[in-house]
Order: sequence, then structure tokens, then C-alpha cells
Amino acid sequence: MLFNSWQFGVFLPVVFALYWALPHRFRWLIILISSYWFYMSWNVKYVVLILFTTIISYMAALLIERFHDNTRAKKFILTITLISCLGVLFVFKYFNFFSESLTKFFSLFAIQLHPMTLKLLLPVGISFYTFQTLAYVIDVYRGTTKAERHFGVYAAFISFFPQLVAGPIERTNNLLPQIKAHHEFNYEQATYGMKLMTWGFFKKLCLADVLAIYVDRVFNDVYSFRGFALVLATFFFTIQIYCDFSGYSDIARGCAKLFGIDLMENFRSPYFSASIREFWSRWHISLSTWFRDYVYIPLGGNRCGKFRHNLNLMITFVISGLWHGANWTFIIWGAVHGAAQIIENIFTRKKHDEPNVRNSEAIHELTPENNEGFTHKKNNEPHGIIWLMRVLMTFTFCMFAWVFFRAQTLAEAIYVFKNMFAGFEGLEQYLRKAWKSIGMSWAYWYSFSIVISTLAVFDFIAVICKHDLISIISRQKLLIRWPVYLALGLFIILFSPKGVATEFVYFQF
Amino acid sequence: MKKFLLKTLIYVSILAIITAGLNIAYIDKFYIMNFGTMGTQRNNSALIKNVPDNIQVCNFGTSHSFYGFNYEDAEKKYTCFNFALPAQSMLYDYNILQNYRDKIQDGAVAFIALSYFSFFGKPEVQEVDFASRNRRYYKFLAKELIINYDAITNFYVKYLPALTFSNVIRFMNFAKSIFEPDQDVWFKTADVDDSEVRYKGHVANKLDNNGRRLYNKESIEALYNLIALCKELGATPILITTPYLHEYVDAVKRNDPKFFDDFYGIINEVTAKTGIKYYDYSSDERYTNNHEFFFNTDHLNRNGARQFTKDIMREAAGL
Repeated sequence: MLFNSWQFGVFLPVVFALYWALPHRFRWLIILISSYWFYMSWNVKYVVLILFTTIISYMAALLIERFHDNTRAKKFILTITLISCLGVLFVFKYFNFFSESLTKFFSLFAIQLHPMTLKLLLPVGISFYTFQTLAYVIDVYRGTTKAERHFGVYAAFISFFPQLVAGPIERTNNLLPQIKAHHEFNYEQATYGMKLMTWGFFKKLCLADVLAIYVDRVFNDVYSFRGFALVLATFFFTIQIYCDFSGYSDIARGCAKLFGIDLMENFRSPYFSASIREFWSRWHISLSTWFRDYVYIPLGGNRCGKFRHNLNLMITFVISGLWHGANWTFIIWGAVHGAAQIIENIFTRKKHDEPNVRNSEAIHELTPENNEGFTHKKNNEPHGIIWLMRVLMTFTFCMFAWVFFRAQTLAEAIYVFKNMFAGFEGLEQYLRKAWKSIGMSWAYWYSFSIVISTLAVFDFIAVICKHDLISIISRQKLLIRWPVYLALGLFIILFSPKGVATEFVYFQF
Repeated sequence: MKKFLLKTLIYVSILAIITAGLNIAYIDKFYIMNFGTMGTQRNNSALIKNVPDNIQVCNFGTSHSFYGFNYEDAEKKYTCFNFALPAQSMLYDYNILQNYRDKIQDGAVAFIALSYFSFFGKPEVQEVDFASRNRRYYKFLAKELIINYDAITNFYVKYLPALTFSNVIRFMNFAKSIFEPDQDVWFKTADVDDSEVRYKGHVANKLDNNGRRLYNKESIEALYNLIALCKELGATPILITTPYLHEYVDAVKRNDPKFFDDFYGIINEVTAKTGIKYYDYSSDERYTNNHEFFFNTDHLNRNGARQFTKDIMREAAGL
């Protein structure tokens, strides 16, 4: 069941009504049943996997807590849990990739093997809920959270439907207490949730889905295109992936607010970042903080020598790339971002070269908290035109890096880079050929320009004012805010593709 | 909670009222015109409302036929109709003829245009843009003639036409064409530089994963059915291939030297089995070097279509 399907349009009001109509003690049950219903609407069989992961992690956490004095036992239980949960993920997501890669590797030494492959469909959202359960078990192991004793409440926490299939990857200390808490209906929270959902739908339906038509046209048959068509498709994908994923996160957060639950913010105007480091503090925050807490810092973070620090960064980004998909293109995408951050560190670390200074900053690296925004720059951070130039440079870098993310093979990605500026005989000709080859009319371009500008203004205001536009509009007079809400609603109705609900890109992860 | 529900209800109601108003205005003014490529073919609207009776000359096929036939001159003497639509499959050619079978006069001439890729590619339903393309047939075909008929799509297309993105964009294109009529592609002349890109774009979804050309058996079968139906209705089916610019034909030869053997092989088999005639204008020297007759390397423009229609009616149909 997709957020942008009519089924969800029926499902949500029913669950909302039941949730608030029933007494508090039954609400976890409503969340649990509705979440499993939501998940089973994709494929009933895969409920077994989420149930397996939930049971394993639930029991592991209880056992870890029981053996809190026995470090070896705790470690053993943790290891078994990690192997079990990651094992499921490996089999369903990575087995074929590793098997094929291994075969190719051996063929380099003239050893011919036949790759063993499994014909399994990738269960929706498996990477998201697996990471959420792992975070829970590790937190219990570290003693930063208590094991949940109520299995139903725990299962509701793992499967909470707004964020089940594409995040945000919630932390135990944020979501679990909220599921257990007694909520009174909060008008402000619910209306904000509705507005957030509307904005999310706008991004998904009016931008991501429409841009996807052109992106798919080019990237599904990349060798038929050259020149600016490839640049344009890459730019469109840059906007599409952001609108698709942040749109989902907005809908998820808005939806959760209707139930009195606040999910963590997952995106903060990432394309207005002035560096790659800042980009990762604004893009998919729940994942980057997950990697910070459970991979980067355990590897040593930056509390070590320069080489080791850079290696830690690279390892974290490569794993992050692999998390997105079982393909070398994702690994390269992660590595490219890792390399960029290492290069940034080399050029910006002069003042902080002392190991003890770096130690004190360890926790800030890769976190959203070190982002101060446009108006709150530290003295050594860029302002005005310099900031704008750095934003443009970061955006351009991210845009070209997305080629690896979207291309189906490395060869395709290389073709895109090689041919982006092929056939350049003058700007007008270069641009005109692109419009024609991807079949885009000026009318489409006008409408895209309007919608993309709206998105840019929204994100820019969020960076400038440190508040999102929704909060700012909510504070205006009725005669100002209602026309805005209606215009947004109307825009979604008029400009969203009808009759076909398209999946969110991040569902495949 | 009450306040929240009340405000949500008010919001949804206002949106519904505005949407309904827009939809009514849209149906009244633009729905009929808003079909196919705006400003190009008068038959767009006619397909929905005004398919004439006693059709004497008609044509089927894809965009090559849609843009390639211009009955401006012929209409003075005959009742003509252009049933072609961009990216139309043979199966839909057949279904359209089924739908309008009572409108075809005994002894009529039916030009069945065969584009280079008519016989190749995946089955229609497996194509990426099938859903969006299929939607247009809900406007005028009987329910049973629509492939993968779906009631929700039918509801959108028939009762909420203003709400589909493509329609809004077409409306914008239409509005633009009123103020800038020369922007309409049909009135332009060809830019030959894009022959390679256009060829590759056309061939792209006609290949399997190993780069081999896929034969569309469904399409070949539909062609036989279409020919049989024409005969059953007393019409004379004539197979044709519309003119292409030589740059495009060269691109095909360059990229796929075996292509023409396969393409003409299928046509020879069809003509041998059915006994009908085939006229190939794809490399006809009157057109293939004349850029003034095309708006791109494989589609005739208004003037080209006018000349081609005149020629083919005289040469192939003896009219």
C-alpha cells in the first residue's frame, strides 16, 4: 500500500478514527495491527521476515539485560543477533551480488565458476527495519536504553507503519516511549502533520513522479542519448531523488503526528549545503546518524591518527553506499562521497590539527548538530557570495555523484560522464538537441520551473530562517494561509499523475 | 478534535468545489480539442464526437500515419478520416476499426501504415508508457475494446479529465499554439541532425537484454486481423510506408544492416498470404531528399503530408 494510493486514502482515516476512539491501553494494538496490515499489503509472505527480526531482537535485548554483568555472554548474544538480522538482509539483498562479484573476481585468474544465485524478491523496507532493530539491540547492549518487556509494544515500535518501509530509521529512545505514552489529541500537532503530508505529496507527486518520466527515459536507455540530455537527466534525477525521499519522509512524519507521535527529521534543505560534510548532516539524517553511532564511532571516528580517521570515513561511506543497493554503482557512489569528505577535511583541518581538538569534535562529525545555518555562521565559515558559491559547488558535486546512484552499471555511469558534453558546437544547439531528444516541450519546462522554484524557495527559507515555511505560513492571517493551502492542494490534484500510484525510490533499499 | 475534523472537512470541500468547477469548465471548452497533439489534427476531436458516416478513405497507424495524411484537398471529393495516433499499436488499429465498423462505406480504401518498427518490440502492455498511452482510448472506444480496461482510469478520463497531468500540459500547449501557431511541430521543417538520436530512441525499446531485435508477434497477428476486418467490411486494405528523410534511412542501415531484410521479409510474407498491395514511400526520391516536407527526419509536416496524401491516393488507390 503506497502513501499515494487510494487504498491509503481509506486506510489512514480508518486507523486514525480507531486510534483516537479507543482507550489508551489498546492503542499499541491498533498501531500493530494496522502496521502489519500495511506491510502485508505488499506481500503477505514477507511478514515472516519482519516477525523473525522482531522476535530475535526482542529476545536478544531481554537476554542481554539479564546478563548485564556477564560481558562475554552479552557479546555472544549480540553477535548472534547481528548475524541473524544481517544474515536475513544479506540473503535477500546481497547474496546474488556477492556471488556474482566473486565469480567475476575468480575469472580474472582464469578460474571459471558458475555464480550461485537466489531468485528472491527484495522485501520492501528490509534495510530500514533491520537497522532499526540493530540499533535497539546495540543500545540495550551499551546500556543506553532499556529492553522493552511488552512484545506487542516492541513489535509496534519496529513496524510503525508511517516509517516502516522507507524510514526515518527511528531510535529506540525517541519512538518507543512515544508509542507507550498516553497521548491526548493535539490540534496544533495534527494540523502541522496534515500540512507536512500535503507538502510531502506535493514533492512526490508534482515533482518526483513527473521528473521520473524524463529521468527513466534517459537512464533506462542511456546509450541512445548524449550531450545536454544526459546533464538534464542527471539534474532531474538530483531533484527527483530528493523530492521522492524527502517527500516520503514528510508524509511519514506528518502521518505520525496525526497519532501524536513525532518522528525525527530526515532532511534539512540538503541542497543548500556548503560542503559535503554539511550535506551529510542534512541528507537522510536518520541513516547518517545511524552510521555515525554504530559504524564510524566504533571504528574510532576521528579520535585517532589522520590516516585512520580518513580510513574510518571511507569505510563508513562505502558501507553506506552498499546499504543503498547491492551494486558496484552504489559502492562507488559512497566512495566518491567519502573521498570528497576526506579531501574537504585535508583543506579545512589546518586549525584543528591537534589530536585533542579533533577529539573534542568527534561527536560533531557527521551529525546534524554541527550545522549552524546561513545566519548563524561561525566566524571562520563562509558568508554571502562565498557561501552561495560553495553551495553551488556542493550541489554540482552531489548532482554528478548521483549518476553512479542512478546508472544501472558502472559502464553506463562512465558513458554518461564521457558523453555529457559530447557534440558541443554552441550553447543554443547543445540545449536545443537535448529538449528534442528527451521529448520535453516548453510547456513542461515552464511548469517544472515553477515547481522547482517553489521547492528551492521553501528550502532556502528553511536555511535562512531556521524554520520551515509551513511554520511561517501557519503564523499568517487566515486570508493568506488558506489560499496557500488551497493552491498547494489544487496543484497536487491537477498536476499529479492519476490512475497509477508510483513507488517511492527508496522502497528498493 | 472537532475543530480539526471541521477544518479538514472545510478544506476538502473547498478543494472539491474548485476542482469540480475547473472540471466543468474544462469539459465545456477543451475536452474535445484536448487530444493527441494540439492544433495539428482536426481529427483529434472528431475521433471522440464526429467520426463521419460513409467513410471512403481512411488511414491507420502510428505517428508516421497520423502526421503523414492530410486530407485537406481530398475532402472536397471524398469522405476521409485519419484514424492514426502517435505510438498506436496494430492491435488498437484493429480495435478502432471494430469500434467504427459501421462508419466504413463498402468499397472504401483503408491505408494501413507500417512504420519501420511496427513489427518489433515487446507486447504493448509491457511498454513503459503503456498506461499513459492507453488512457486516450477510454475517451472513444467501447469498454471491451480497451486493453486492460480499468474502471478507475475510466472514471478519471471520462468524468475528471481536467485532473490528469498530461491533459493540463496539453491544455497549456494548446493555449500556446493559439498565440504562437507556428510553434506547432506540424508546421515546421526538419532538423536533420537528430536522425541518429531519433533512430536510437525508436530502436531502444525494441531490443532484448542482449541487444537482439524482438519480434512482436502480437502486432503481426493484429495486422492480419486488421486486413481481414477491412475485407469483411468491403474495404480495400493497402499497406504503405510513409516517407522518411534519407538521413534517417541511412542511420537505420548504418546501425542495423540486416534490418531491411527482416522488415521487408515480414511485409512480403503478409502480402503473399493476403494478396494485398504494399507501397513503400520510405525512400521515394520525391520526398527523401526534400527537407521542406518534414518536421523531423521521419515525420512529414503539413505540406509534405498534403503532397503525400495526394500522391498516394492517385498512385496506390487510383483516386
